[in-house]
Amino acid sequence: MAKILVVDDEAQVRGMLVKMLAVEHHEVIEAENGAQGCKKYREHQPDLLITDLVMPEKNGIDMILELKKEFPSIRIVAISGGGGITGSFDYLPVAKLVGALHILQKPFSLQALKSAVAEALEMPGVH
Amino acid sequence: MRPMAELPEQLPKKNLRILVVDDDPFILQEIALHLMAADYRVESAESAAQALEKMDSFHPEIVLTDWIMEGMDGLELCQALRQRKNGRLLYLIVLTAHDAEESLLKAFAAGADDYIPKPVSPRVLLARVQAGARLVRLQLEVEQARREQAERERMAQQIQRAHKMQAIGTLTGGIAHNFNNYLAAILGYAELAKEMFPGVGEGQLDDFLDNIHQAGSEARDLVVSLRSFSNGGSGSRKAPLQGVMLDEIVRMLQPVMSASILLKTDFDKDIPLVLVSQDQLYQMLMSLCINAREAMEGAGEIRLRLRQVRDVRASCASCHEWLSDDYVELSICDSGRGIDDDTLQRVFDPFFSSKDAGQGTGLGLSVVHGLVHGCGGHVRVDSEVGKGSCFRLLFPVDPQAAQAAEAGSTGTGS
Repeated sequence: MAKILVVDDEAQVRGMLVKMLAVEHHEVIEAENGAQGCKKYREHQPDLLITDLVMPEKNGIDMILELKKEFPSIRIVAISGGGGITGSFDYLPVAKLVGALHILQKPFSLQALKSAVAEALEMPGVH
Repeated sequence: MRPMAELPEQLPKKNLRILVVDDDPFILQEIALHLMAADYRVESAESAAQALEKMDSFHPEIVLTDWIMEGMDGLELCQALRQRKNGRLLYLIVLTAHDAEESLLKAFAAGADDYIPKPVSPRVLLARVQAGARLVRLQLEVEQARREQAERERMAQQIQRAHKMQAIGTLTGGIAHNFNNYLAAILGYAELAKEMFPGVGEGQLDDFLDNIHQAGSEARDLVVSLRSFSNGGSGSRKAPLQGVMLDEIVRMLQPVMSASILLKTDFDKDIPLVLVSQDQLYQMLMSLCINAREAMEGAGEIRLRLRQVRDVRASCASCHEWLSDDYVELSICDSGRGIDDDTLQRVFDPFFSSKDAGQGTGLGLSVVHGLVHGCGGHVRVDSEVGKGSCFRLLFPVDPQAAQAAEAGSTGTGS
């Protein structure tokens, strides 16, 4: 059991993630954008951050960069529907570049999420 | 009477072509000499039949013909000339000794624009030809303006089509992004429900959830295609485009083609280095070959050819950008029913399908458009109804890519 922060602006996706993680007996904290995500991460210092990338009020990439400075060993799983509203740019590879341990393309299977979470929690922190 | 030198300056300085027709060689020569002296380009014909023969090689703007001739006479010639393609644009002058009112009216009725009384006065000849030349030049200017206008309209239409493709790309990309969010929730909850409540209602709930999951998965595949259209399918590993790669793809395509379809290949070995993703190339060729198969109603020949094409001067069939460069071209040609012009304008639009409803997704060529542009390439289409279609994928010859590959790094994936 771990403490996990879930950041996604889509309430539907966020709700589903929370339930999926709860089934696995994790303690889940929610945030709906990057700014809120930063605040809650500092407040709760969870074991893992699962975050969407395209969000209003600080996107996922900026949030990762900011938190990475303060918490170099932060564990991150990035999820995205791919592209922004213009649909032309894929942010997932960028997330990997800035330090996400796993990236998941939405929609992903329950199994894919479970193994990404398990592996990220097992991995030694990235320094 | 106005001498030639007084022609208004703004008229095009072009030596007009005059065909002179008379069965009297002496008169013919004299008229021709007078006209040549006034800087017209002149050809002569000794009969109406000869005149008609010369029309296609000489293309005169003005025809000056005698009325009374052996065989076909001058008025019959006028009538015949007016019937020809663009015959209405000719300026026709009849030489006549019949200057009675009824005769002149007959000449005009046959299509003449003017007449010159015989015996011919050289000054009257030049004056009347000059009057005709003035009208011809004005007519040429009008024609020129009309052509330029048509060209401008064609360009505007092309720009509009290019904008439309961009707009559709943005729209589909946006839809894809949002749909992935909804699908994440739909598929995720279906899986979660199945895991948390197994066997409910004697397994009926599992069935329902499986159906939800199945439909969601199909929607996910559709979104993948839409994204390929809008962003060209990013992140795939690339390798040099060569015959070896294509041979392998053709082997994979073979089972999809029926036995009565012959896949013929001709891959040049000596082509510049071009990097493509084999998966994406397979996807493009699969779409194009399936379309070819449908167009040939199950039997015929598909020719795949790889070669270098230099200095292509044409516009891209889907993004409409004007091309003027060297490319490596992979063409897929079939002997099918061909595509008419109206359809050709829309084949790359997402969800446009010429197949019966339910027969195709209408995304095949949209994905081809997305993927080929994703590698910096373009696509051209030649098609003739009843003869067949040729889709030409053009890949840019990139010196930088060539250098990188020589240095041993062919992977550009993430």
